Amino acid sequence: MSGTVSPGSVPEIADPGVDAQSVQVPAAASAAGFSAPAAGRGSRPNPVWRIGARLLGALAVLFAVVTLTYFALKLVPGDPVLAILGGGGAAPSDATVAAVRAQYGLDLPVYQQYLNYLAGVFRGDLGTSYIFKRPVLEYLGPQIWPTLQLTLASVALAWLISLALTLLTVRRGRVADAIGNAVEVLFAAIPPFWIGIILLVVFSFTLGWFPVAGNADLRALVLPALALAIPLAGFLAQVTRSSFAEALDQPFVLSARARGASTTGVRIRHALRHALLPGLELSGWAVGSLISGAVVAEVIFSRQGLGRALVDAIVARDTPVVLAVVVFIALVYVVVNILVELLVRVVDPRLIRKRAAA
Amino acid sequence: MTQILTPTDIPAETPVASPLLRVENLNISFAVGRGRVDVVHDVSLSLDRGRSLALVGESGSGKTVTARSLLGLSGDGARVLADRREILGRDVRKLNDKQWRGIRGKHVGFVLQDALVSLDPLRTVGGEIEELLKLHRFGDKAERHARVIEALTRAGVPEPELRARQRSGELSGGLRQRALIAQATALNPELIIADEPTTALDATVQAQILDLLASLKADGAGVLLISHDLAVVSAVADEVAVMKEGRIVESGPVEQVFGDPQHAYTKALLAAVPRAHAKGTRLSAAAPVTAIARTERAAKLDPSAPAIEAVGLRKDYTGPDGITRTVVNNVSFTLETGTTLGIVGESGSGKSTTARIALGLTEPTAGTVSIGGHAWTGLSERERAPFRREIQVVHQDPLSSFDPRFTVQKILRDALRAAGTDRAGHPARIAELAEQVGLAAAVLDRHPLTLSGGQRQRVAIARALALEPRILVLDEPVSALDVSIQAQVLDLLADLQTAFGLSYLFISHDLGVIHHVSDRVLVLSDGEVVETGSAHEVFTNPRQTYTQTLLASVPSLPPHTR
Repeated sequence: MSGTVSPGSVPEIADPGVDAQSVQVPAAASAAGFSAPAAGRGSRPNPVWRIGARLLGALAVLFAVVTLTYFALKLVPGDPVLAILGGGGAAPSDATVAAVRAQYGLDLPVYQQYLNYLAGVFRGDLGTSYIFKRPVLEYLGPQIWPTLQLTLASVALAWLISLALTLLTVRRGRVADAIGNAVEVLFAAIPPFWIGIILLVVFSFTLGWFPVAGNADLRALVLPALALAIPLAGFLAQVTRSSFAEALDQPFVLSARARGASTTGVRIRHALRHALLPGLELSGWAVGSLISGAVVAEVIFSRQGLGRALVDAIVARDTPVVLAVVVFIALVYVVVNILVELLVRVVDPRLIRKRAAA
Repeated sequence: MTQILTPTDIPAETPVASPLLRVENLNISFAVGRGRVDVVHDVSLSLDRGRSLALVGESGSGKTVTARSLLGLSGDGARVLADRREILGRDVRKLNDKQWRGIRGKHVGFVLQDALVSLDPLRTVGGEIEELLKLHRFGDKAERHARVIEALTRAGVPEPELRARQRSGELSGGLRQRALIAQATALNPELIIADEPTTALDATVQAQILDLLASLKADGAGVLLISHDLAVVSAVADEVAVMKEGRIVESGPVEQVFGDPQHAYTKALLAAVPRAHAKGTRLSAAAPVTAIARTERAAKLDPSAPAIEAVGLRKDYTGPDGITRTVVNNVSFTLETGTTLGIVGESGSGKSTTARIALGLTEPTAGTVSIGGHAWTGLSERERAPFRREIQVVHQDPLSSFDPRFTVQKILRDALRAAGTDRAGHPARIAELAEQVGLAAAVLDRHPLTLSGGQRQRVAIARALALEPRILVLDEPVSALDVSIQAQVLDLLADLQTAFGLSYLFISHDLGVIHHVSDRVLVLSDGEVVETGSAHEVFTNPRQTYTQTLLASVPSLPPHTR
């Protein structure tokens, strides 16, 4: 922890001499006293080992997602062969059904199918779409970037909006505080499809500033990203607001002001950094859920993307596509959460030692 | 350090002869709801270069608000009025924010209490100091770095290059406070305001910080010291102003005010400080708690055996890094029934762990404890349970040990229920407990959050007494209290001991308090017993160098002080 190891650095009963003020930073400096530092240092776990453990954990998560989703989809009633042969309308002969069943390996026992699928995943083969009769990767490939683009743009916009709300309204007088709070609640409560339609009507149909549909250029990205960003910004701003206000009450803010820093300077250089953490942790979840939630914006703005592909596949019972999208979303979750953890450590370097110790 | 520090430029329009600080009839009020509340009334102060003025008073006396008004940082909704408010001869009454920012840090340095929270815990110490330099456009990057190192060195921070790269949480209490002072003084401000700069520090560290403040004063800075600790004040200040309820009730040279106090409040404050010659006397003017009734209970403990007998206690902890540390090593002591054993030591000395072992909350790695002749260690919780009520604890901060939704009445009822006493007798017993600890009946219906520190501590004592224990472990019971409240609580504890024949294990880092309350004293350092003996022996004739150093580092009021 603090690298200061004195007997008694296990604070069992709070040691009032020093601990009275150490509410903010648990244990770190408590009981450190004034005795010599040193010892304890160099005992941090090996970083290579830590990263290895993290990657193993990520693989385990992906494996679990593949397995659970695979069997959950198997439980859905109905014969996949009928979906392959054109859904309920078609009336294929028994011979055709048997042939198709054999072609897709659906005549094998379920565990065998599962193992085959897993083996395919390891080869980078996610199967063949029942509807499009093309390899899933080939079909989904072009959809991935537009959705990622939309998701990343939404998260970035949501952060911009929530930071602006925080910096401009928290502790800026009673009126500003109330307005900021109200805006956040409103934003958090707005359903994305509704705000999407409003944006479309106002900025595309009436003002004509942005294209109505498609994903031709960056201009086409603005409105759908905004539709997803506004509700998220409401959530982010609410958690950021309270931790920001808390940071402003800390004595180090007074110290900084006494040093000659301006109110805005203190807000940006000191308080903001403390306020980022809860929002950052939330962002890991937000990116993952935005990918699956992107469908709303993709449908309203007629955009290409995974969200639409997922909904279409579910409706058409295109199991391999559904499975692939779910696995992809899980992958994004895992990657984003690792990134978030790294970012959190950049923002709060104290955590490096704290978590390593824990 | 080859570069020689030059005094910061004084604004050209300032005549050098004017005093550093001059305030006349300062009034500060805060907007509360629709009205205003006055917190500072007609305060006048003046301070010259190379001198130190102390503002003394208890929490809520207005001393901190007064000091912050000299930085233009009185807080939101504050209205500051004064006939005269001058810093370096410059009228600061009508300054705008930008002008204030030019003064803060450059001409007035501000040191707060604990650097752990007073320096941004996410930024390095060097970064914090450099921010000050950047804000005042001091030099280029290399010059700023040199100045950071220089300021740390001057504040007595060893290995300044390393420390500058560390964050406040990585430094020990003493180093943090030095870093904080380095931060406030890096631009050689003429005026240094130190708000409780040594509160929460151990005695030896406190002595070092006071030396540092004295040396800044010797270098020509004016030091405005804010403190509730009269002894600290007498170590540094030349003059003192005693504040009470927003007014200065008495001021003058330290020797005069402390040696021959005129105002009743100053006298009471001075009398409340536990000191050698006050041992065995009452510290507060409060009447002793009389008419203490005692419901007799069949004693489980043998009154002729020592209340606590600890032999060869040792406690090892294995840290997250796999290294095992001995926190308490070979500690033995005897607490005789009806007496007080004081355990004194600095943070990390193992005194709190010793207390937990005595309470039966932590099992020692080696050694035994017995209470009233009964084995107390090596028992299962079931075997211990019948004796639990015999030994109770009072903590420094009782608030965190109360359920915030409970009223005082409910807290006490809860304790009585835990003791398995007859429910019908509860109301009478609660009234009795309140009376014993000097709590007004009206307090019973209030929540602890709305009580003062002294009242909370009385509730904690009443709760401990509810179980009619024979032994109380008092873990820093008065460390968070103002000196006059501390005096009342110490007096109460003495009354209760006499009335009930209680035995106290009294833990504190405050040597004055330990001297006042203890019959015998145990000095702990690094988990080991350094010295033990009667309070008189240890305090008047310490045999070990550690104890001698510890005692020498305590600032004390001059002996002639009344």
